Amino acid sequence: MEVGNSQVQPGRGESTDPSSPSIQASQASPPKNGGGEKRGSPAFHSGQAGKAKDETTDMALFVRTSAETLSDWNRQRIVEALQRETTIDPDTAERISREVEETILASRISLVTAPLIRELVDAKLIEHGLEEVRKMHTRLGVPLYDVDQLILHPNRENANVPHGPEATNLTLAERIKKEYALLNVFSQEVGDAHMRGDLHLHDLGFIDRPYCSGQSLEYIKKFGLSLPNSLSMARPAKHPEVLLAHMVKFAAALQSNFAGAIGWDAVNLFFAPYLEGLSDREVKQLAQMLVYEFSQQAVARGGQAIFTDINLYWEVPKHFEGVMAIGPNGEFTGKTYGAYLEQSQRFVWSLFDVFREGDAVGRPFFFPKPLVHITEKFFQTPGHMDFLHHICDVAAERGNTYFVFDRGNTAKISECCRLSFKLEKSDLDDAHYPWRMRYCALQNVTLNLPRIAYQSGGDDTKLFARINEVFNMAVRAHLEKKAFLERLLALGDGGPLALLTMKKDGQPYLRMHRATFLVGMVGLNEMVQVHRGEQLHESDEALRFGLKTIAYMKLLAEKMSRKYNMRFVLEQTPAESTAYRFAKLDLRDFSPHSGKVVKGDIGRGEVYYTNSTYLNVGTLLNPVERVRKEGLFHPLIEAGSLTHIWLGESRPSKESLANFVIKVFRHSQNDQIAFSPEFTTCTTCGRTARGLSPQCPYCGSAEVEGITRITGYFTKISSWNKGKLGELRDRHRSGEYFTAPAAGCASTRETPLTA
Amino acid sequence: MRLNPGDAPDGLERRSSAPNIFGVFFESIFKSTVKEVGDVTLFTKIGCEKCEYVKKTVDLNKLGVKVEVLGPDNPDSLAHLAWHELVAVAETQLPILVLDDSSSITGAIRIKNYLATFGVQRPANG
Repeated sequence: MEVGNSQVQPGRGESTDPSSPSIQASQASPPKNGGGEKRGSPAFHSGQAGKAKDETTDMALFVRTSAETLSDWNRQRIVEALQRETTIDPDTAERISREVEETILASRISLVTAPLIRELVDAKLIEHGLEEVRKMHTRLGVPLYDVDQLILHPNRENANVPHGPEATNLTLAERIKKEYALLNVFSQEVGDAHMRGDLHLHDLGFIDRPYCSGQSLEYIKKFGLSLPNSLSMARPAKHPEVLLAHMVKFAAALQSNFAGAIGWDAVNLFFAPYLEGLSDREVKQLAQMLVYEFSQQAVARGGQAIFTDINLYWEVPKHFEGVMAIGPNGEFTGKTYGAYLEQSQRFVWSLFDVFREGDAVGRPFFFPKPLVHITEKFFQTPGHMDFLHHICDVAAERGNTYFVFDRGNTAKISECCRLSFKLEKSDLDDAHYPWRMRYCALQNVTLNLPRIAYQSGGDDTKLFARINEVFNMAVRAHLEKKAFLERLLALGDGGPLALLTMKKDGQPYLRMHRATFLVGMVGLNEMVQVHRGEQLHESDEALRFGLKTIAYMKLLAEKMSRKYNMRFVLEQTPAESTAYRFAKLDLRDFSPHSGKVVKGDIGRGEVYYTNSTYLNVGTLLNPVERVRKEGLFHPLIEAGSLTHIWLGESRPSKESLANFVIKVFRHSQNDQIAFSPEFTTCTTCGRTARGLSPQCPYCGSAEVEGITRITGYFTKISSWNKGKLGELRDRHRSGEYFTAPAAGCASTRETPLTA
Repeated sequence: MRLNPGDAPDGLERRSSAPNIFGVFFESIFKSTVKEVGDVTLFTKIGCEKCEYVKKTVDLNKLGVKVEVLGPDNPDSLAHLAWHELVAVAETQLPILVLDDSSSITGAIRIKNYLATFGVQRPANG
C-alpha cells in the first residue's frame, strides 16, 4: 500500500486515498479485534480457539501495555490512540495502523510492548510526513539504560539531591516533565533555543509549578495549617513548638508546589510573641529544633532538603514596628512588633548559637540559610556590635551567615542562592497585614552571554542586537510558562496547584500580580573577554563594558515590563549546572574560540563559565576590590546578587570580618556577601576539620568528604557536577587577607572601598 | 585636571575665539570670571523638574559640564551611573552632579550653588 505524503492531510478528518481497498473494507465492517480483512494482513484473534493459519504466534498476540497488563492484540487501539491524541483523519489512522500491523507480522517479533507499537506508529507517521501528528503522539519516557544508570549512580545536576530511591523517582519524573515542557508548554522556537544553549530554561522538570517563593510566618500564625487536600486541619498554633511544626509542614507543602527555594521573612521577629515567659534555655531549645528540623528534612520531595532561607533582623524592621503582633491562637496580642525587640533578639542570638555549634559532628548546617539584614537601623539598635561579632564568628567558624545589605529605605525578602524580592510601596503598605506578604518568581531564564559574543564577531551593534533577540526569546518563554501555569491555576481547588489558589485572606496564595519573571545571565566575564579581549578584572574599560551590557539588559527588562505589564527583573542566576552546560555546548559549537575563554580544565571535562556578573574566581584579587567591583553590578540586578569570599582553611577573627562587613555596607553598593570556609569531614572517626584534605587530619582515614559552598549553599563536594569541581580548583582563597597582621580589619582602613 | 581661576578650558577658548570686538570683550570678561569645573557630569532625566531647574539656571555648556540623560534607550548613561555607584541614589534623587574625583552632589540648589562658584550663572529668567 502506497500512501504518498501529499495524500495525507491530518486534521481534516478525511482521507485523500479513498481508493485504498483495505481502508474501504475496514470502514465498511470494522473487525471485532481490529483485524483487517485484506490480503497479507491477517487478523489477530489472540487467545481464541480456531485462529487463522497465518496468525502470528501466541507470544506476539499479547501486548505488554503501559497499564501493567497483557492485552490481546487489537489494531483498533492504534487507531483510537491516534484519533484521541492527534488531529489525524480516521482513514489515515486506519492506514497507519494496518502498516504497523504488517510490520509487526513480518518481523516475527516475540515480545510486543506498548512503547514499541508507539515507536513503530511514530516511525510510520514520519514516513508519511506527518511530523506534527508524530509530535502529538510522542511517548515521553526514559531508555532502560538510563533508568539503570539513574538507579545505580547519583545525579549531579543539583547537589541538593542525594542519591536514593526517592531521588531516582524525582529524577525520572523530572526527565519526563522536561520533555513534556519542551514539547507541550514551550513553543518549538523557545525549546530549540534552550536545546541549542542560547538560553537556559530553569527547572524544566518542575514545569507545572512556579520557581520559588518568599512569605511570612503570619499566614500560618493567623490561619493555622489547613491546606487543601490535607487529611486534617489545624487551628492557629498556641505554642511555639507547634508554630514551628506548622512552619516545617507548610514549607514541605510549599516545596511540593514550587520548584526552588522557600524563604521566610523576619522569622525571629514573628516568633517573638510566642517567646514571652520562656527561659533562655527554652528559647535555645526552640532555635535548635528549628535549625535541625530544616536541616534534616531531606526526606520529602525526592529526598531533597527543603531549600529554606530564614530572613533575620537584629532590629525591628521599620515597616513592622507599628504593626499589630499576632500571638498564640492567631490572636492579636494588643502590642505592636516594636514591643517585641527583646524576644526577637533573644531568638536570633540563640539561632546563631546553634549555627556556631554546627551539627553533632561539627559540620555546618546546610539548611536553613540564615540571612541577616544589615540596615541603617541595625547600627542604631543597641547591642548591634555584639551581635555583629556573634554572626561574624559564625561566618568565620562555619560560614553560615549571609550578610544582606538593605541601604537607605530598601527592604527586601531574600532567598534561594541570592534571589531577593525588593519591597515596593504597596508591599510596605501590605506590611500592616503581614500575612499578605508573599511573593514568588514564576520562572527563571538565563542567557548564555559568551555565545552572543562568539556570534557577534567583535561588533558592538551585532552584540547588543543579539542580546535583544535572546532576551526577547526569554520573555517569550516567560509568557508561555505563565500561560501554562494560569491554566493549571484556573482549575482551582480540583487542580494540581490547589494550594496556590487557596484564598484564606481573600486573595489566592499565589498573587500573580506580584510575581516576578527572572532573567539571568551567565558568563559576562567571558563575553567581555571574547568581545573586548580582556576579562572584567583586567581593565576599567572591560569592567565598564560589562556594566553597559547589564545596564542594557536592565533597560530591556524594564521595557518588557511596561509592554506586558509583568515584572521582568534581572537576577544573578545561581547557575549551578547552567554554567557547566553552556560551556560544554559552546566548546562543541564555537570551537576554537570557546576553548580560549572557557574556564576550568578542558582535559578533565571540568569546564565552566564564570557565573553571572562575577569576576574571574581564580584571579588574585583582594576581597575589598572584588566586593567593590562586583558590587558595581548589583544595583542593576534587582532580583538579587551575591559576592562570595572564599576563605579556604583560614579562620579569620570575628572582629576582622565585622569590620569588613561594616565597610562593605558603608562604602560599596554590594547587595550581599557570604564567607565560605572549607571543611573535611571524616566518615571513619566522625570528626570535622578545617580545609579540604584527601585524608582525615585526625585519624588518617581516606574515607572523607569535602564540604563547602557550591553556589549559594553548603553541600558535599562529592555531589558537585564537573563544572563546579573545575571552579572549586580555580577559586582564589582570600582567607589570608583577613588573618594577615597588616591586613584584615587594619587594611580595610588603608584600602577604602571607595573607587 | 582643575584649572586656576581665570584659566579657560580648551573647549571654551575655542568657542570664544570669534574675531569681533564683542567676542574679544566677552572673552576677556569670561576669562577673568570662569574656573573650569573639571570632568564633571550632570545626570538628569526627562520630566525631572529639578533637572530642568539646574539646566535653566546654570550655563552648563560654558562650564563644560557633560549632561547625561537617563532614559530607557540609554544604557551608556546607566552604566556610567553604575560605575559611580549612584544607581540607587538616582532612584530617588535627580539631578546628580558627579565631580572629577568621583564624589557627587545631589539636590538642585546645592548643585546650582556649587556650579555658581565657577562663575557662570544664567539670569533668573533663564
